[in-house]
Amino acid sequence: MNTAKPVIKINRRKETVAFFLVFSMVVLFSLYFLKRLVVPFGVAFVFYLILKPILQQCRSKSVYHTIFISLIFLVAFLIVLYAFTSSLPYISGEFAKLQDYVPRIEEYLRSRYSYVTGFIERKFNYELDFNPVDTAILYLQQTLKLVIIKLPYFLSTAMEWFFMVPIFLLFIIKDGFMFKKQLLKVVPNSWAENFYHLINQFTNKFGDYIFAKFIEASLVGIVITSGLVAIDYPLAFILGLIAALTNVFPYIGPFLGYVPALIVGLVDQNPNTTLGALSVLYLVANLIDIFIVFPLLVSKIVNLHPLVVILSVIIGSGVAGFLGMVVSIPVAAIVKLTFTEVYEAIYHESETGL
Amino acid sequence: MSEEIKAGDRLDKSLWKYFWEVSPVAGRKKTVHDFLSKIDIFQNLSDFELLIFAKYLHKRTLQTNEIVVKENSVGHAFYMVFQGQLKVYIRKFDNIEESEDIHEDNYTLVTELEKYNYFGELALIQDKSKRKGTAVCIEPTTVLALYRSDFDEILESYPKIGAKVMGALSQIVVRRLHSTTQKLQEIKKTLNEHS
Repeated sequence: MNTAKPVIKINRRKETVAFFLVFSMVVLFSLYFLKRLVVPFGVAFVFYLILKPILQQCRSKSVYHTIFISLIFLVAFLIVLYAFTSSLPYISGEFAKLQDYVPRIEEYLRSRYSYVTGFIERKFNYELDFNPVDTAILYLQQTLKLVIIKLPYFLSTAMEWFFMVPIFLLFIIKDGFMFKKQLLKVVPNSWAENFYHLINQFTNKFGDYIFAKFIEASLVGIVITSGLVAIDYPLAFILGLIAALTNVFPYIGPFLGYVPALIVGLVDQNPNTTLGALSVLYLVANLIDIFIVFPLLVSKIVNLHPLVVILSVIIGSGVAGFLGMVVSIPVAAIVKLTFTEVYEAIYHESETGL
Repeated sequence: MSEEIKAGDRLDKSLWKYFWEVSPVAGRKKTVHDFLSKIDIFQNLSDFELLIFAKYLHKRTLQTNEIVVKENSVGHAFYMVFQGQLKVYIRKFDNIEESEDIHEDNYTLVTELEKYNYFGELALIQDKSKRKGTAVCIEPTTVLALYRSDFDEILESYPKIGAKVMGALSQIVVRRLHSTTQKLQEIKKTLNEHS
């Protein structure tokens, strides 16, 4: 310690740090009780992240203003509405067909399972005392029952979101940056620079990942649906949708998307249902994904060890189910980034600038 | 006509409000944009570009003896002195604890900064650049900060503005490189003369 009189006695403004900590705790505490608003706000934020590259393009062409953005929204909404209403008969037809397929799939799975257990019993004289098919079917039936019981709640929530999400989205687009600026004012001066940097890194990484995954899943869904329609495969839309949704799971996603299509093909017993063509289609769609879409869009954003990816997905699913699985990878990437930044800030392991 | 720019002048103004404020009919107020136009980095920006650029700036107020940037810390922002005065110190020895106050024995005063001066510009260009000095306010000070992430956003959304600012920053770097090279040559010359 230096004993000489200081030229400048540093003003550390501990009161601003204390205020910021209390403020953060109050905000987090309030958010917990405002779940009904926080969730649609989060959904709107995810939409914003998906739209961000388009908005940046609009601004770079000097056409960024509220009227233009509202027009884009209106046109996009009309296109989605038109696409939805025009494909509604086809989609409802598929769902009607699905009702016919479900008991057949159930019967098929039971018969295949009893064949396998019979084979094992004959060959190895060993009786399997558990029935995963029955367990899975029972689980699905219970889940479906629960969904039907809670259907009025889901519908009212969906209606609420239908109005709230676009409003929040417009608010984020129009005033999101100003809101962020106002919030930064509460952060103590000594923390502001690093805090803002980390927050932006977080939203950029998360946004890039969500955008990339959205494009990736959409492409896979479109390729699979078009391919299934081309080979005249049953339930093309539903299977394409499943392929798109399962694509968000790393590593096992493509396989999870393929299995339902294969089961439908096996149940169908139609001579026109070509399982070979189906397998080639899924293989091609996933090869396009693995060798073109993933390296171009996702790999630069998430630079994690495969083991970390698997672990984060397992932890994510344990904490928040399906949503946890989707967000676990960008969250892991952000944790890694934050750790690296904090480590560098503490140990000053970076290059010297002016 | 008021000559001083008000400390509370908003950075995020609408185009219409800005037009009204700067119109001779309304008495031509001095705005933050006038302040920015006096800084050499932004001299190539038009009034409209300055209006857009200003929206990305953050006004931060600091008290006397408060640190703005600390030597050796990783920099993510560029600062302009809007009001007040700062002193920049560098450490004489590497082993000085960061938590210590500034003593004459341990620190050397490098420069003093006042209104229209700026610092930390390399944080906008260089990834994880370290601060070369500690900037301390010697009176209540207001700075305008441009954070690296916002500058990246400007480059994406308004490439023309980004390119102009980047061009000006490159000029600064080139000037510094030139002066460093000259100093090195002078040192080399002196050494040759002595040997």
